[in-house]
Amino acid sequence: VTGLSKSLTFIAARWRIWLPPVLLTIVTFVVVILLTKGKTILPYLYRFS
Amino acid sequence: MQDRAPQSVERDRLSLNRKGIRVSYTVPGASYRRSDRWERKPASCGIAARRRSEERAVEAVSFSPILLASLRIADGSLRYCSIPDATDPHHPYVAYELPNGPGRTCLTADRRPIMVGARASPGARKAEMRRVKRILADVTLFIVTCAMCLAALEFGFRAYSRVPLFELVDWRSRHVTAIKAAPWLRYDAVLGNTAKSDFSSPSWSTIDYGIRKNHASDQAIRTGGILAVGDSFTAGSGVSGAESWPAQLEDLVGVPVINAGMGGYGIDQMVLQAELLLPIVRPKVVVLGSELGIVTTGYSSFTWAKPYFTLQDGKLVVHNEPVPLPGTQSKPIGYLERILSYSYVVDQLMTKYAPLDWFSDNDQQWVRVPIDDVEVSCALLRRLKGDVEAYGARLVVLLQHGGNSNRKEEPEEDILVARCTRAMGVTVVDEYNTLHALAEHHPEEFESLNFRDRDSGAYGHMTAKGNRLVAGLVAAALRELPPSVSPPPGETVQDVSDEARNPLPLPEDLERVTPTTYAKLVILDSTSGRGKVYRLLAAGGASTGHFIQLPMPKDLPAAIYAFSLQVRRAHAQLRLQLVDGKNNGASADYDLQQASAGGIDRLGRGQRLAAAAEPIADGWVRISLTAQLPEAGAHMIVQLLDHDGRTVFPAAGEAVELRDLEVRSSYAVSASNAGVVK
Repeated sequence: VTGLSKSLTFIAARWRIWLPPVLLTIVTFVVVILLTKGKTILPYLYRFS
Repeated sequence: MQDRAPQSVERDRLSLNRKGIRVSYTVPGASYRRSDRWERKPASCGIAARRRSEERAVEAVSFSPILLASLRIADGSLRYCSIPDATDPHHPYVAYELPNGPGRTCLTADRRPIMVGARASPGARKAEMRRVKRILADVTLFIVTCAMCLAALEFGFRAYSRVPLFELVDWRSRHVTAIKAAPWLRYDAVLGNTAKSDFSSPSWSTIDYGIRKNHASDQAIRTGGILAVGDSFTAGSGVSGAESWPAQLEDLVGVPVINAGMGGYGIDQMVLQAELLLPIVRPKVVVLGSELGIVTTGYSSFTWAKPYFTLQDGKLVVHNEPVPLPGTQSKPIGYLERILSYSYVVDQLMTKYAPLDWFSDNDQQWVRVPIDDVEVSCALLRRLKGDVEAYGARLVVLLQHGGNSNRKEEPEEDILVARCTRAMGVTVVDEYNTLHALAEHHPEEFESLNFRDRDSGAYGHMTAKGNRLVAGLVAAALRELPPSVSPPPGETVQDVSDEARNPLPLPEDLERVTPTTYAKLVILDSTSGRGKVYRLLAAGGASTGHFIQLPMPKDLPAAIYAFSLQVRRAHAQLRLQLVDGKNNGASADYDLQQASAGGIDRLGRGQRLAAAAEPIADGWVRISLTAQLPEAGAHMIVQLLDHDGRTVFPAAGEAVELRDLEVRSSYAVSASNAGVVK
């Protein structure tokens, strides 16, 4: 428990390190969902199948 | 002067100027201050330094372009000295390290030290080690966080998209495989790719020239009806042959409709396809159906390499003639692309925003060419109109949109091409308004006309019901066509009587009238039920070619000629030549073992060249050569080549078997048509 506690303390103290990637990932996730709506390219593929 | 290195430093002084660096320090227990000086001076690699105060050697000296200096002294008295650009006011300090720890001093604007000395502590080295460890821990934490975020993004998006979470899938290859899965396709030097003849599968069956069967009973091309060229919407992808719109049009109008549609064809390929089939099908109407054909016209490779046209001085100029063989325009897939293929996020983004780059590989590519798709498409349709009308037939252009008809606006390129096509007096059937109205007012009915992808919801090809609607639109347009079409002024139409179309003597007479100076033609089998089978034997000298010239009526007019025959390899390769009285025409070599046309050469002013080879049953290969001959006096030459493809060789039993020799011609070349370059 002490080791875990120390690790968590270590990580919490370094929020400046890990928080930016986490926030960026959340934003990226939302953007990816918005960008991939309506996959209009697929008819190109259908044309050869 | 003390030579050994000091054990500790209580106080030091460092001064820096353009000439060099000077360090003064007090050695504990000593009654004097020690002063060392290094002097800068220009050197080939920047600045060199040497110590003046004593004779001890400078072990290593290096300066970066911004005057960072690293000095190591042999006895370790001054281990490190980093000198940021002393002339740069943004770096107004000097850092250095003495034996017991780092030191630092600041400089004033005139670069004189204002704080002198760093007190070295005995634990400085341990503190430095702790600092390095902390930096390493932070870097590791950052890398681990990034990796976990990327994994979370991938799994989260997979969960959102409802695809297998932990399956290791090459998503890119899934698309690629779907595109490649068309076993009825084959390479064609003129069209890029075309359908195999006499292909049969549960979903796709063809007859001669890759024409899709409307019904299972179709065995041969029926002439005098309607020729339908186009893309997969015409071919009827997703439905049976009988459910394609050409087949349903045939049921509606009661005349044969030849379905020559091919998936992925552009307007350019459709026009070339129509020109090749005109003398064979001899239709009364040609219907050109385009769904994405205008856009495809702007590509030199659309999945596979294809011909494309540019306009030069208002004339069409063909490129990629012959079309490069598959695999010759390779685009190796990089390691990064291979790795990223396993990410569903990357695949979905690339599929939507850079599909042509994403799917391109050794076998398939999408390459855009800088042309105006609409302008070239209009020019091609104008050319086809001339071809069709010179043949006494009529042209109808069908613009298809399928499920995309639910969009608010019709694609601009379709509007523009419809406009230019109507302006040249050609009937245009545009299904957009009809389907769009259904999408607006009867969405369920609209949905029943089009296939949709289950996962993405994207519209695909039309259903049998959708094709029935299209056939009805075309049939209505055909009823509105004028009863006959006269050739435009300046163009003369050859009377295409049977004799003119097939001027070869009957096969039974071939051996009797053929000169056999350089090769012998002997009857091999006259009981095959398909006419006589001949064996062509090399009989020329060691320094001559080995060929026969087929007997043709004299003064055959200038026209497009299609020369075809079936051949079976024995011990030689073959070359066909199709030339007029002035030796204009085409020459093509055929690899009978591979059943392929190896290459086609233009002779003189020969135009619209095409060579094809396709395997038939029992080792027979149907080969053909087409060319537009600008002068009268057409004749055909069949030449034997040896195993290495040489034309001149001592005869040693080289021979091939021939049957079903046929020559067809279309129409005389008019003065206005002769200038068209293909």
